[in-house]
Amino acid sequence: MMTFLQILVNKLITWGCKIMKKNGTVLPGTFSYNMRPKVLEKIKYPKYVIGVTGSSGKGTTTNLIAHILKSNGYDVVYNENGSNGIRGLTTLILNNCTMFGRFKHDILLLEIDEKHLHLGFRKNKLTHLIITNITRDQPARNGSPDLIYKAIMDSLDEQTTLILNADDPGLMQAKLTFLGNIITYGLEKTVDSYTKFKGQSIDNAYCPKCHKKLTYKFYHYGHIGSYFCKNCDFSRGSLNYMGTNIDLKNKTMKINNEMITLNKDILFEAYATIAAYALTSTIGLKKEEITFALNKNTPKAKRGNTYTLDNRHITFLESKNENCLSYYQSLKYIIDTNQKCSVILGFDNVSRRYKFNDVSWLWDVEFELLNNSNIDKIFCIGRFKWDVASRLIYANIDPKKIILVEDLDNVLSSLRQKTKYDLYTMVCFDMTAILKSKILEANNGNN
Amino acid sequence: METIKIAHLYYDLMNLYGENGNIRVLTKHLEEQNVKVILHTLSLEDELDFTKYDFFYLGCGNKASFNLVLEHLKKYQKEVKKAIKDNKFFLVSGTSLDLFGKSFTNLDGTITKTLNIFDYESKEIDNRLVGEQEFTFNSLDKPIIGFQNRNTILDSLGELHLFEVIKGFGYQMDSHFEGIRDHNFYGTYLLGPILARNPHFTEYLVSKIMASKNLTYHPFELAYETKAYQEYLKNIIEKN
Repeated sequence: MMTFLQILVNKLITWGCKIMKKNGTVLPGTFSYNMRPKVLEKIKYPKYVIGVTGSSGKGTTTNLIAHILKSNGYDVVYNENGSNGIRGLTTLILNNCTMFGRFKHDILLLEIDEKHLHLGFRKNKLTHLIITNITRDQPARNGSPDLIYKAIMDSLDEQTTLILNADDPGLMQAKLTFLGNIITYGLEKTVDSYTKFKGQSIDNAYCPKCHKKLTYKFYHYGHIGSYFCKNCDFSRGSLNYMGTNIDLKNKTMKINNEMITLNKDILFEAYATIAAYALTSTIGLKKEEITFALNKNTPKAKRGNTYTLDNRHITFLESKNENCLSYYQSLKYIIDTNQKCSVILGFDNVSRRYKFNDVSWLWDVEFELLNNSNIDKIFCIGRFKWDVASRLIYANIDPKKIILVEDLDNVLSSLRQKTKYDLYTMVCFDMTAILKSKILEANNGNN
Repeated sequence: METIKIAHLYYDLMNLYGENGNIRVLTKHLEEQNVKVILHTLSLEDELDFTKYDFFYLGCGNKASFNLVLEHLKKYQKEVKKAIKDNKFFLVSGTSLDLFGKSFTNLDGTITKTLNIFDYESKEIDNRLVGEQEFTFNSLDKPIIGFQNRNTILDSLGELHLFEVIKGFGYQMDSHFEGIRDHNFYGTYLLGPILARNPHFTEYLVSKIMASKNLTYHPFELAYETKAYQEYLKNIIEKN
């Protein structure tokens, strides 16, 4: 009876949100979840309940999986709006149930916040869980990466098949303790791989089995790469799904020798693609079905929208604060364009989830990459612009290149006056919204 | 040219919060004083010689790293104690502070013996103390700012305190004192780039290091860092 009521409340509020033209992805679930948090345990789930979690790449991977499944005629429901917390998931799940709590579709696919997994799936276990990577991310909420790993693993038992990015040694420690089935994927060396660690800080530098230092054959970025322990048998090992011949410039790679087209020319897209391939293959799709879907139109990438300002391009690369590898992705993208350009950096709030404003992570970001002759100017905006500028000084960036924009109302005139090149923003979410609205205003409503 | 040797201890384990910032700031401004800086990054697979260096830095790490470091550092307990007595400089931030007391009580009640350098006991708690901090330091007029994110407390009464709390957490959630200072040992629960964020503390420390070597200290300007410090104090800490 209670489940019936919770589903009713969920559906009614969703309907109300639609009428009011409000975003109804979280509010209905907030009400229905609070009535009785265990509601998700009462649902009769379909054969496949697939989760995607990790510090980054969850959304892209989830969208690709949904695309492959839908392209092949599967009846899949997923959180395409990106609401990946327990309340967003509750909204989605209850709205797709009958009034008696039976899930109405064949496959439930969920991008899940790594700290919310245990809230939704304590009793009913996921059939499959992809973990994309675990890196330092939002420490005021998550603590250190080992605590994120523990939170995920504590929610699981052997009923779930794990699909792991084996290039992350922190994830591969699951092989030492997890009793269920583990499927692995990873990427072979690319032209950008390197053999000597670079960057400011590394996670999981030591073998989780014997605590000796891990040796890397190569790194992709951060602590992600191909590693082994000289002292024991812990290593990336041989993988179930291996991405080879990775050619980001031409947006192609091979997965287990099948040629695949990538949606974007960045390594993170290759990771999302091979994760989606591994999952869909594991649940029984044929390689022809997967490659057919991946090689036709794939979903539009979230990041990297380009606007124009006067006659110049301004490309929005959103970077997640407190996640140095998210910044690395944006920095690498800018530098790899090999074009003269200027960059906009900054934020008003470190997080949108909490009020804390720690800035120590700025020192883990490899801003040294901006110490490049193609970078004309770096505009620092937002409340922490001086912290950002200080960090740039220690990356040995010429102070003449650093422009501090004191008043955001003057940002466009500052961009117009001080640089003539194309622009890349790698600001966080709050500044993206402000900059986009200013550009739209300047362009009379056009991009 | 006079040489100053810095040891960044357990750089690959105790590095959760931009700790490299302290090393960069220190190295840069010592070099500007016309001294040669030799920096060694050392960890579990290295032999540590505490007589060889002038300055030791140890940052924040997770529990597993903490235990690995403790195991390794225990071999050098006497050397560490002597180095502190000999006025070598130590900057210790975050959870590393818990290494230097008598013991560490884990959440499950088990007790791990720590280095026994100072007379305090640390304890793991089941909630986290997270937030912006503002402290006073009796050698400087302006407050020290920073951030904490920890789940440990310690039981010192503050005889060797480094800071007094204006806003934030001391040894325990509502203690008045924070950090440990003894000779040139500066230990605090503040995280990460303390020197980058407190230019006046950097100047203080650089001047002390120069004086310890009988070298002339040349005052320097930290314009960006000072502005960042002022803005953070005004916009974030004082608004909370």
